[in-house]
Amino acid sequence: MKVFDTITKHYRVALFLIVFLAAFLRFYRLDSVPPSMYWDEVSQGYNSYSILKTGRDEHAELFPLARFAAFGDYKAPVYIYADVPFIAILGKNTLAVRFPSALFGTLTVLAAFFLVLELFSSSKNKILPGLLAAFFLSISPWHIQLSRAAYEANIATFFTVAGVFLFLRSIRTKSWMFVLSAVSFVLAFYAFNSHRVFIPLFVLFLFALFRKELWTMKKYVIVAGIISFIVFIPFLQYLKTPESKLRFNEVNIFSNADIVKQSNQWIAEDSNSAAGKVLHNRRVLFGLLYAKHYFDFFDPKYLFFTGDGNPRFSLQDNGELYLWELPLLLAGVYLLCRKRNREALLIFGWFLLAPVAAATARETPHALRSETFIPTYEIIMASGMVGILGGVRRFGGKVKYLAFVGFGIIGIVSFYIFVHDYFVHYGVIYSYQWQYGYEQAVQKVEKIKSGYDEVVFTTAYGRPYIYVLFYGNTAPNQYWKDSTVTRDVFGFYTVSKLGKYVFRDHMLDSSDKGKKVLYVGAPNEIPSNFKKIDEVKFLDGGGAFVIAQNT
Amino acid sequence: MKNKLFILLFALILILGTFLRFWQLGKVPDSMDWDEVALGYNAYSLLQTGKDEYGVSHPLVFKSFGNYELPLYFYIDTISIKIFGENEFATRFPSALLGSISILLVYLFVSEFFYEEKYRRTVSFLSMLFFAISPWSIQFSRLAFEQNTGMFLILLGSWLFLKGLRVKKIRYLIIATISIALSVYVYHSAKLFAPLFFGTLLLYSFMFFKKRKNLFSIIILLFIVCNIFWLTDKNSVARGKSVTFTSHSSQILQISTKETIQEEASGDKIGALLHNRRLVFVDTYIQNYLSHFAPNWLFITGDLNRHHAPGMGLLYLFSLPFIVAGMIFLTRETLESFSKRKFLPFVLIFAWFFIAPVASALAFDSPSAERSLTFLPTWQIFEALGWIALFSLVRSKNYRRIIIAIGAGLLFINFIYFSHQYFAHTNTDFEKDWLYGYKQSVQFANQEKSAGKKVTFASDFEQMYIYYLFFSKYDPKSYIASGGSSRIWQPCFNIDNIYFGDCLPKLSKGDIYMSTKIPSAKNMKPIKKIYYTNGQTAVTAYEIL
Repeated sequence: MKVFDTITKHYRVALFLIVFLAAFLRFYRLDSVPPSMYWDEVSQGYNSYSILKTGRDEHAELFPLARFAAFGDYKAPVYIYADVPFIAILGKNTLAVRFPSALFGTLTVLAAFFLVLELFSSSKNKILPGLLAAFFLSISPWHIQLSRAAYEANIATFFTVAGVFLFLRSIRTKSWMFVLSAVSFVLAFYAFNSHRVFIPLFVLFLFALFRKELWTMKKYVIVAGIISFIVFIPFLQYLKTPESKLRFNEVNIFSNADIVKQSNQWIAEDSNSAAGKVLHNRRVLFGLLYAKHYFDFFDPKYLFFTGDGNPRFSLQDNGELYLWELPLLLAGVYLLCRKRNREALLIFGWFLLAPVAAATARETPHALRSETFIPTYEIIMASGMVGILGGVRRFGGKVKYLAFVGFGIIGIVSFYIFVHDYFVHYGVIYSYQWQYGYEQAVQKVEKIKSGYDEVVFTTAYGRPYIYVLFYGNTAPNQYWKDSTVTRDVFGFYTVSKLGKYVFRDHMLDSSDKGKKVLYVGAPNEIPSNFKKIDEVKFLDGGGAFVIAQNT
Repeated sequence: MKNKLFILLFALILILGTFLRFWQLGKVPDSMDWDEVALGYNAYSLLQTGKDEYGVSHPLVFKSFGNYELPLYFYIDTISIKIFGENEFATRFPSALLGSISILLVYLFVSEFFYEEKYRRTVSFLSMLFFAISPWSIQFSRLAFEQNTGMFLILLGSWLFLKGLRVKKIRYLIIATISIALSVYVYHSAKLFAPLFFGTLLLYSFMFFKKRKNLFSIIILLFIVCNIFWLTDKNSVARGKSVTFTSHSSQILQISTKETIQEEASGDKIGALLHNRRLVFVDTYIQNYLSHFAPNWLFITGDLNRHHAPGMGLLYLFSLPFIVAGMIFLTRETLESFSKRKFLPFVLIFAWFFIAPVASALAFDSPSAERSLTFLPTWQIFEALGWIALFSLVRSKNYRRIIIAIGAGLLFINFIYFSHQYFAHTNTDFEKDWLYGYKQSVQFANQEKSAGKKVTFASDFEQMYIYYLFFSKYDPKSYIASGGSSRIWQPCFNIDNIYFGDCLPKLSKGDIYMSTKIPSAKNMKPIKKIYYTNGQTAVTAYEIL
């Protein structure tokens, strides 16, 4: 097909257009779609702001390196630091908080192009697969969605892709870029929890694949090793603390008591025989459970139809991939298998390792924790497409043009459906999931709170204090002085008081007697005898907050 | 392989496969679901009276519980019930027998289609082995579920068809056509599968029929004639509609309805078009279709508990790498045969594989191991090819030995695990799914009946009357004479002194009320309980005070 020859010839223009498309899909209305910021985004934004103003995080810790305590969920540090310059330039708002994710998302598209170029450097046609991979990534529902909210994983993905690119490049050119590759992998490691498992395994795999070449460039490897070790020191210290395991213990499948129960039941049914104890050993059952969670990531329903069950990661009626990509994917798997070279092995290894960390968690399939898949799907599809084009070239007839036009129409229509659903419907239907209303409620309260002794704010929607900090006018050091912070049994921080604000799960309280109190609650929480002042609605028309005062 | 050794292994596998299908048949699973019982009793009734439970003489469609079952298995069942009497073993016997014969057919079929002399015997042999120990096949061979008979007929037809093409004998082709067409009279999904599959066979044998146009017309005519009987029966079509997902659309359309409302408010015409329900239905159909390839369904969980062994999927987990390798190998062969413009039977296997879930995907509860049973034996053939593919990849003899040892070892462990789970744990883990307690309730009710009491089965029993008829071997003649099954649609009806449904008002002091739940009425005292193995109560019998 001549079209593709032309594209390959003018690949700089094509690449520019693809990156532009990617940027557009990631930045257009970034501050209003998704309609509002959910807890983790706001928390990251506030910690960045706090670092910017004071050099300390919300818990007054000076430049945390290994992690940010945040809600007690111990967030990875890279996103928060990456966000500091944008908060400085753009101010404390949604756009600034989401900017790094959209930016790194766009850069990942570019990085994917160079990665494919490097990967297929020995073959004569490497431009086309590179362009195709970048293009598929630029329109990927999975990647667009994760690039449009302040997700740490999205930065980790960029550094992973960049790391592999630099790794391959340095192997080919035997250059100092190897050190950069190591730094990139370390940053990915620091950027997101899944990558703390994925990156070490993946790097080991790369070392095994390229052991011969690495041996010839020992000095770079040693330098990179030393640098990586130094950078790892803060993390190693963190690893010794119990809090590092907190998050894992909370979400992992290996604490599932049902499995132990099932194992015991089967052993008992086998009248406690030795054979029964071997067959029904809980490790066997945990192995099978892990396989189940691992396979969840390859469930066609998840991949092509509904996407992640969490509406913050997916539209619910649109898959992580487009359905028309399935034939390309199958063709790609087949062609890479047939090539049987190291590059194909690299892609498959990456692909199979991608969900290894995410599969240890209870909620699977999980689009965010398995963003490690990106851009393997895209590279496989690009190989498939190139293979199909090559195959079709040999068979004549006008049917092939017809087939391509048909395929193109299906592709364009499903892309349009995704974009339409995302920008028109998604925010409206799921504004609740994005904690919509906090921003508006806090801004309204900030304007009138001077007339009241106390502001009672509901905890019904979770973690209100962070919204008051982010959208209100409380300075970080004032927050440290004038707040009540406690930790619950799970290690989460709860803020019950912040200046005039009191956060609690009920509105009426005997301690309010004799004070002039402003109440901010869910519509069903506000007693009918209160005087309603204002309200905030979800975008689908349901009530979010009612602002009222006691009479 | 040496010939003697081969024959020995061949026989061993046949024996093993047959053993796995017949050992404890009727005892594992130890209860029957209502469709099986209905099959058994209707066959018994046919045998005694020539009529079904409704008194219809030699029906083409069995009304049963209003689900209009296709007839073939009912008629086949009469033979085994004649021989073994009316019981669980006899009801399930034909399925187990045809499942066992299918093991041999897999060998014959594969050796018919695998063109490369060098590996032919090995591939056929491995396919047969994997089929003999297949959890999927064993599961359905041990139940009176019609699909297994359908699979047998398709397999038989395919083998005879290929053989007919090779030896150029018309009689094989005729029998093959009849066999495939007959599968349509076994179960509903075949109405879609059989024509598609038969069409594929004809396309595949295009070169053969090009020179034999008369034969071609005869065969097509034969196929159509065989299908006419069900096409003209409207009840038979009705059942198909009731289980499709379009009849359960409110959930499927949930999101698109919300979106449409929003479009209407903003007047976006193109937007409204995108959320059209037809598009959603197409999307749902493809989703259901692809759900039959979900790794969890295949290898880890399966679907309904009645369709798999406890803690197992439908295929062995350790078969996965071989199946994938086999698919890639088969793709290569297929593509190469295409580029040589030579239609090798490999195309046929892929066609079979991809047509298998076409009907099943229409149902609202996809994926279903039962409705997509015609997948068999394609997965096993892939697995066998996978071994060959790996073999051709590895040149060194020592490595080959290591691969065989590891692969076979893991598969053996998996096989042991399955056999254990199936035979040792099905009855305890899935007894609720298999409605344990129904048979025991009937036995108890008959005791009380002979003591002169009235017994009522509450409406929370599913289709209890058929269990009563089956397990008390109730004389079909007198059952039909007293009105037959057209009475089951009444809220309360009786067979002699046994009452079914909401019959409390008809009971008086001293009568028996049986239920799987705790009744709300106070004037009762429990006199007998039937327990599951874990100690929970399955059924309680109460005496009216």
